[in-house]
Amino acid sequence: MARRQDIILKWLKYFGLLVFSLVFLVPIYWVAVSSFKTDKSIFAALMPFSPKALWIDAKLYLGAYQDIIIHRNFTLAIFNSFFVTLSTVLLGVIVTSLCAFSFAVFDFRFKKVLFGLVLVTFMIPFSSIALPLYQIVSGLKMIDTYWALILPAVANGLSIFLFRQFFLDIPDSYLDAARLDGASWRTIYFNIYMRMSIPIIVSAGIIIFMDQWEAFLWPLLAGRSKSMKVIQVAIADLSQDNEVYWNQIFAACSISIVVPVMIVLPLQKYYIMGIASSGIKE
Amino acid sequence: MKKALYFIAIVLLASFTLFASGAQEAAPAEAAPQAAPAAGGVTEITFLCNSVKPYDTAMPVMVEAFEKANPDIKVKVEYLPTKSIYEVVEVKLGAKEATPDVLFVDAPLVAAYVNKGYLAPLDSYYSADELGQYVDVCRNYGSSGGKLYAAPFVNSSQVLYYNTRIFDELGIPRLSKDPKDRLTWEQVVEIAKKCTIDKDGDGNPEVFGLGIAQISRPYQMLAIPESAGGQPIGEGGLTVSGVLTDESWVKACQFIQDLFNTYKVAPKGVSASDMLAYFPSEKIAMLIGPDYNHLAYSKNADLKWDYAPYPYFEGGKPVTPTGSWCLGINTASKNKDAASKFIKFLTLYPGCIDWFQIDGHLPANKKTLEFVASNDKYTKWPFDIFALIDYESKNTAVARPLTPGYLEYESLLTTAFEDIRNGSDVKTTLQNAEVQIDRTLRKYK
Amino acid sequence: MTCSKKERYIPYLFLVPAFCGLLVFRIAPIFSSLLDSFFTVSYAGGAHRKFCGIENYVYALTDPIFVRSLKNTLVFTLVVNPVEIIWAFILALMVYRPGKGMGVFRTIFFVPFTISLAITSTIWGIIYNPNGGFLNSILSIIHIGPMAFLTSPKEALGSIVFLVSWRCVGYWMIFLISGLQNISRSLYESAWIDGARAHQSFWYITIPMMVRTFLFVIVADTCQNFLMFTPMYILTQGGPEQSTNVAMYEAYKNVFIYADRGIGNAMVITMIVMILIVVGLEFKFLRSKEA
Repeated sequence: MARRQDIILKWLKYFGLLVFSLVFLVPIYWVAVSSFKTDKSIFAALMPFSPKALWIDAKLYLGAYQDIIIHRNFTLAIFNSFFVTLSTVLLGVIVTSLCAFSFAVFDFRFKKVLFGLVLVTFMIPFSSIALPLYQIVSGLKMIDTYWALILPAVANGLSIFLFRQFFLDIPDSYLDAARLDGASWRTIYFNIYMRMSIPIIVSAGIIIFMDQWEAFLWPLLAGRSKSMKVIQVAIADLSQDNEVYWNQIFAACSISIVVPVMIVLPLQKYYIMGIASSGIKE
Repeated sequence: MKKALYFIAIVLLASFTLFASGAQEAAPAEAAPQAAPAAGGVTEITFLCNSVKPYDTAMPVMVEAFEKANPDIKVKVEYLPTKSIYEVVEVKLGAKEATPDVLFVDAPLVAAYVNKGYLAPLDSYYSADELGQYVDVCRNYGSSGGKLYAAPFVNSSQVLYYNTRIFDELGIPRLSKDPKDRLTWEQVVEIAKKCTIDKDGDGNPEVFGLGIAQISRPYQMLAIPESAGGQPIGEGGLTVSGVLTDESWVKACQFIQDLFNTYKVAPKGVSASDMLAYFPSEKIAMLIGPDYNHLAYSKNADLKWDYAPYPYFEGGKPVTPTGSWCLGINTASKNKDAASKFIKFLTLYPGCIDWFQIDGHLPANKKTLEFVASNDKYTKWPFDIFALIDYESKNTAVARPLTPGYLEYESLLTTAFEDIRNGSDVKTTLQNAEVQIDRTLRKYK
Repeated sequence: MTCSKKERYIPYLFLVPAFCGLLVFRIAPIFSSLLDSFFTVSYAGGAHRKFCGIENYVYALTDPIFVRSLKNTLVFTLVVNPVEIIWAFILALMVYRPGKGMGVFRTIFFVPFTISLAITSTIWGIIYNPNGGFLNSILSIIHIGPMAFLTSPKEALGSIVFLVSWRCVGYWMIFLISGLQNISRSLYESAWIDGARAHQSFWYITIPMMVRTFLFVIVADTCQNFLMFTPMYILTQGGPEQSTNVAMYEAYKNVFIYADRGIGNAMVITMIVMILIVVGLEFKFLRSKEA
């Protein structure tokens, strides 16, 4: 009896996996395939819809990619996105782990209040403070510089949170032993806590990376000039002209999708491990 | 693991510093406030330009020519799509930033920008003769309180484009180009019905009879209620009470709704930018659209097309949309002299003629119009379109309303038109629009 | 660990970089926004700012459009949260056990999250085209009539809910997988020995052990969805007929298009207060279930 139930569940699971995979992959696949077609071909197969939309054309059309790379400075946008994102990850991991270290290891006045403050800021996304933030950044004369895109995203509340959870789980015995040995706080932080936190560093890094790679509204305001444009803004600009070149948009989207996938795929194990070991208790 | 971490950190830090120093070189040029040029130095002005075709290809040519003629001025151009220009102007000029120095200003926004203190007056840079070069109507909407704040750059008009291959196939005769013989909207619908083809009967026509280019945008749509006798705005440009719910508006908006929902000759769910592409890909047989499209269509070897005058309501008066971009100077700019030189170069004789020849928009300068009238090229199809649009801009063109709250007005009206297009009740939508627009305009009273 | 007297400053030292960032780039803007919300701008003959107390708040809260947008926001959040979390949980349950190919499926489900919300909206905008577009054509194969999607006031918000969920479930799924993996196998084993069946151990072990994870996911998801307006900005501009006009978008329009900063900021502050209340309530509710 139980066995039959199990078998049904198993087949249900495989069916579910298949259906969901299709739901998630088909639109992306369509975008990727369409990036190699001319606009005419894309819409011919689209309205009305024919299965042709999902096949690669007999003749691969590279014009879309050529156009965005040669005429639209897309490589610059890719570079900008990379630079901004990687800088944010580097700075972010350092800054947030330092902050979390303090919350996890020390007892001090205002600890609760300050941590509460961190949580509150975590709930406020950029879009809601975009204009006053713009005025502040403008006042600091940082508009249209890489700093404007990097600095506001460095103190990532979620990252502080994850690091703190994980640090709390590290047994005090390490700490006590190190203090007895007369280790400086810098050593304790770096050699002990951070060394043990590789999965968390990966998770926090991925979270900060994704946040910055896909940031749209803030770069739209603060990073408008040609030399500063990141990918998401470049793609948005492609679709606002009077003539929309869908295959170019798809080509740009495909590039924009490939990068994070290539980064997250291999690190997936650490990503989950990191979040799992942070224990999400609160 | 520690070694690997160190290594990665060092690599990232190194690339970081390298790029940061590179960025520092790039950044000050953009972020540093413009200083007045030292004697013999080069002034750099920033120009906020529309990225829509043909500006993105035509403007660099003009910039190069300008820089050649003025070796002490460099022009840095920022190209942005239309919607973004409005946002960026709000944000940057609202924060009193010194750049951009020169900016694209949509004609009806001049009043609004002057009110907010964004634009610097231009009169002092012009002689009376030079001011006189601008087409009067254009100069008027670039002015506020009698002073010029934005130099007319291009103008626009609209025509009815139609696909001659489809017409021939269906045995529909060609349309007259004489404005006196223009079609009525009712006649347009009849033709459109014939041209709407649904071969496989699945309820989705492969070809729609009619498309409207900048669908739901007031620039495009206001001409329709105006043709039925409606006004675009109320007294003093500060209210719309009673205007939008007037009979003429209701009739016109019902007609618009019917196009998409009752006669079904026009496609729903298609954005303004896609509409333009539908005509050359032969998904619509007729297109009501801006004049300068004739350039793109004439380069398209696969498309057989012709043009006719803009339609009007039977019993109403012919009205065509008009107006386009002007160029203004940021009040906070530190390089107003250089900026004014650039603007005059682009908009006055002889630069305006050079511009016209690469750009093709309906001119806003009388000298360019004279040039067109005296030039042989413009008597042949399709360039003979200029005769028609010249007539329209002198006789039937109605500019968008002047109101300090134009952005709000336009945004709310666009939503109303889009709702009407999608089938919501016409009277209620217009009533709600009236209330909303009045609310946002009250701060200007 | 409390520090010795001379090291008192050390904890604060560690906090400095992060708090500099938070203060300058998150807290200062909120205060600036709060301040702005008490001023009104009048443009009659040049711009002047005038202190007006809570007038902007009164205006916003009596504005039928803003009130409607608050309603839309609540509806949106109340629908998209359970949709995302239940969907994510179903996915998580299917793939959390280590096994052949599970890693592949986890990645597949996560891939949509790597696409930015702006791009996802653009892509789905095409898919949702009502004139024989992608989705309508597929649906017609199984005889579901052409849907209006983004052009119908009834379907538009739901269409956005679906595309947002499509993109985000992978992200939440990861958190739920971590939570599931943290439940020790021995609990299930002893339950099995005691005679519990699959669905019993599900309700009596899995769910209670997941409460903390759910709390985290619900709170984080709420924060994300309550203030979200990118898809509306790109696809529907609040229409059709105000049905997708969410509060944050209304605030954005007031600041960036209507140039009514005082009112726009009043709306933003209202939203922030609301989200703090909503999150507080979620906390209280789920904390009490933690037993």
